[in-house]
Amino acid sequence: MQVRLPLLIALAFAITTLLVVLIVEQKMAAVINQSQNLEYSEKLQTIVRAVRNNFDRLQKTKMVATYEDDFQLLTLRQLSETYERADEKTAQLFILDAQGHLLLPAILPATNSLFPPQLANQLRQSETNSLTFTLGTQEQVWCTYRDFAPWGWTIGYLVPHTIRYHLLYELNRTLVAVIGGITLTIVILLLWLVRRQLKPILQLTEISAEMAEGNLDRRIQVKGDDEIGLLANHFNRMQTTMAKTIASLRLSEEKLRTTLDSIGDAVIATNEQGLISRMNPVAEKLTGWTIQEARGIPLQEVFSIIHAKTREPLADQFQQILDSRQAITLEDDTILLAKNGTEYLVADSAAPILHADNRLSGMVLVFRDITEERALQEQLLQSRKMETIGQLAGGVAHDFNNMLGGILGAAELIRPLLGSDPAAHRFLAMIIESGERAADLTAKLLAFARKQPIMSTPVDVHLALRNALALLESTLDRRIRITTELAAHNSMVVGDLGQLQNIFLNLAINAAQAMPAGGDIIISSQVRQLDDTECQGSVFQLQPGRFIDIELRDNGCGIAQDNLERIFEPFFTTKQHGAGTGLGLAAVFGTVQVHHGAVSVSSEVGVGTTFHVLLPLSEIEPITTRTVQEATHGSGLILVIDDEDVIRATATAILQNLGYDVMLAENGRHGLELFRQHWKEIDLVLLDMVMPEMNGRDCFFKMKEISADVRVVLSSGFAKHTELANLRTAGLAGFIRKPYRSTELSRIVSAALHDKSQADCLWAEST
Amino acid sequence: MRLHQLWFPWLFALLSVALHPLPASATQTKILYVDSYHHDYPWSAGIARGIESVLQNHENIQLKIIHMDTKRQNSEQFKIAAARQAKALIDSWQPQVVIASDDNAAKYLIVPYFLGGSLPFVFCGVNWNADEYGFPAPNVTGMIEIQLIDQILALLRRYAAGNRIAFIKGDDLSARKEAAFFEQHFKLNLDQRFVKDFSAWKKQYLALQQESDMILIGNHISITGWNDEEAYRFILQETRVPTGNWDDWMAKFSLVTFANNPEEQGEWAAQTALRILAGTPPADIPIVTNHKARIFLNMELARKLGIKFPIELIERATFTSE
Repeated sequence: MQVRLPLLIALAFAITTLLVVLIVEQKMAAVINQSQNLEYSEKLQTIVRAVRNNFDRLQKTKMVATYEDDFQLLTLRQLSETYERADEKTAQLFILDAQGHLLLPAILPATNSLFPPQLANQLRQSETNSLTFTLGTQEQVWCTYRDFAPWGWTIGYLVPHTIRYHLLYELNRTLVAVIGGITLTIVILLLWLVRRQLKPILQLTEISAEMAEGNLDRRIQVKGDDEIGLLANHFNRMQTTMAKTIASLRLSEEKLRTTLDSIGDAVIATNEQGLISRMNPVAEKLTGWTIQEARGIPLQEVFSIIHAKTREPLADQFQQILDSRQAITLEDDTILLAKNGTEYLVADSAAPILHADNRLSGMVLVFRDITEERALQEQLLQSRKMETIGQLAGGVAHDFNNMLGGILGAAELIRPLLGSDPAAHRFLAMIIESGERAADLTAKLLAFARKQPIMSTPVDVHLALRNALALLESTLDRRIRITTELAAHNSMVVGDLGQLQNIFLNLAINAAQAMPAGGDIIISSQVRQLDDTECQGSVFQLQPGRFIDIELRDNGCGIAQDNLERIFEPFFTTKQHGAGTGLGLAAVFGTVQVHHGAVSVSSEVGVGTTFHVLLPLSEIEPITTRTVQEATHGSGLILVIDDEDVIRATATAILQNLGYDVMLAENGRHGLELFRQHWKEIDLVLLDMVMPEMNGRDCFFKMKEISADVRVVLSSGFAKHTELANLRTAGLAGFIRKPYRSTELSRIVSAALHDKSQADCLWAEST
Repeated sequence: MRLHQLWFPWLFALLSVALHPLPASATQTKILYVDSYHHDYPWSAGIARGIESVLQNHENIQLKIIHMDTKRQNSEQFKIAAARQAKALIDSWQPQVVIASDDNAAKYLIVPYFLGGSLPFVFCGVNWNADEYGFPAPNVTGMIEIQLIDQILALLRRYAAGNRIAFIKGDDLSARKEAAFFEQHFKLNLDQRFVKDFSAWKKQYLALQQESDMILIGNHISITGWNDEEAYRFILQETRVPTGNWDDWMAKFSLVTFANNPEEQGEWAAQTALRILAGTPPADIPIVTNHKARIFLNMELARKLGIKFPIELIERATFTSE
């Protein structure tokens, strides 16, 4: 605009100049022709007059013939001196004699004269005193002449058009220069004016271009209150409004981005073509793509997912969204392949982004890494499964224990009746041995089910370990070397020494069985501090604090991964039928749980297996124990309350053999009734813990209401440590683990009746 | 065309006007021309033209002319009085240089009042010799007027049969002094014929056609009974040898006339005055004689004598018949 207008004006001026020049040329040519005719006519008259003067003087000499040649030469010389000039740019005077010979100029026409040889003939034939001809150089020449008859001379001028019209040419040049100058001046002025007038508009253009690039900071310098000033004002206001709007949008965008970035799940958004437009940091982390890399790339390239089991690529979610216009969720077991090859188990959902007119403008994909979550779920499932198995095993073991109590009790009672038949005594011994083995198996089941009654005394774990290793020395294959590296400076825990021994026995035996050709078992210990995070990450119910970590490592055949997950399940064994019960590690699992600890295993086939047993440390010193070997006889009335007939019969036989009187009740309610009736005669109550209608605990407290001094020994195949502790505090005199033997029962009953301190000691052993 | 090519000449012109020095307010130089004769006297007018032609290009010179008019009023008293008037003008007007033409101005003005003074004088038109006035002097120089006899004789010799030169004029002291001066000045041996009347003149003229090869014809002022027409016819009829003359008014009575040129006197006097004004002392400028002539040709006489003049001479000359 600022260049076009002056150019148009310049063009108009140029055309005007051309027209003016043409018109002026036409008019001026006519004027010049007239003027030149007059001028050269006068010049020729003057020359002819001069010639005539000389001619007249010649006549006055009275010797015309004598002086004619001299006078003609004189005349030519005078004319030559007067009118001929060296400058070729002037008109040229010429004189022809009567024969057409060129007298003037006195030079050869071909060399320096405008006079063409044929001109003499043309002049002779011409009826006017002038003509125009063209030279070989294409130069046009005007010729005007007069005849001087006395000497037969033709006197004339040759006037090239460049001379004849030089004023016209000069005028043309002047016109062009002046009009050109004026045009240039006007164009410059116009440029200046246009630029001045258009400056705000140019600024508008420039600033709007900058606005298009995103710069809204520049403002137009408004001067004046004309239309352009108003436009500039409105523009500035519009710019301010836009800046505010954009700032608001940016803030909104920032909030959205911050929100998206703050979301714990990964978020990917695409445009309507399925090309990625936005990703939050979680999505960047999981996919391995930065938003800068991923922007504009198809979703399926960045969000590459396969089925966890089939490893087949899953369908393009954007296409599904495009087809259905509805939200979708991923299949289970979907694996996201990150850019660097890392695999994440993910769960996601994708939803279309729809305009109000249901037009698709993109989709948003939300997904998260559920790898750890799935592992926790599986651990929880495993834990629940173990709990369920434990309850089942505990129930079975309880009943089975009662049965064994009957078998073993009856076997012991039948011994005096057998007489001296050695075969009968051998069979009886077989019955008792099988019964005891069955009792041991039951104890393991109860241990797994955490229903085995335990003693809660300070125990040195290192002592339990050494006891276990001492037992193993005589039984393990000699090719198996056991190395201990017990570095823990504190190894005291609260628990059951026997059960802790069993843990290490079971683990060591398990390791030995994994090394049939021999190998190394390395046992080490160290103290570890577990924090809250570590405790919560465990499937066991651990409390933060100091733990002793016993590691038992072998270099045996190792355990396959599939088996590793089930290794603590009861009755799960990879050993040949009859080689193991499948309860050893299950018992370890239960015992560790009871001791508020944890057990874990890692293994690699062909390399070996490593177990870690974590037990919470205690600062309490252990109590020295002692062992009573023989049964103690006594007297008094003992009320036996047990729902199992076999137990009641066995207890009656053992107690009566020991010298006691026995009163029987088949359940808690009946027992309580009997006690209410005979509490004054009853010296001791042997009370089963688990019974229908009224359990041992309730019955105990009822009897305490009747007689606060009542002496009660509780018997059970399984009992919780905390519950026993509470009952003891309430006045429980003792506890005996089922199935009980006569010696053990005699000691506990005797102690409960007579020796308080011994009873306390036995209590400690039992619990 | 570039813009600066348009405005540059304008700027240049503006600067030229702005920077051009203003004319000096110099006091005008004064030259006084003292003419012995009167305004209409051809000789005096010619000298005046010569002076003016030189000084007309010097705008800072103011020229004033005073005519003593001693040709028409030739008493001794008038000449003295005229000289006093001229002196009074000099004293009052205070010219830097004075040009004085002809003998009366020299005799009655320069010699009594200014010879040897500080005011420079340039004389002209003084005949033959200025010794009698004491020229040159420290403040006086000039051009002596002599007849161009050498040029006349040079031309006549081209058409003369021998070297005999005759001189014919009215018989008076001036004529004899003139002849003596010619002989002395031009180293000539003249056959001198002085006549009292027209018939004697014709007789002597006719005789000289045989007794001389060329004739110098003086004016007829002292010849009584002179008749121009008769003299002209006589000359056309009787002349056999080339003849020459130096007075333009006697031109038609001789073949050639080389008359003195008063413009030459005036031009030289003016140029010398400028030299003096420029700082050259008059004593350093020697006295000169004139050498330019106004030529007249008697073509009838030439045709009779069968003489063809060179065209260059004809070009410069005036025909007596014109």
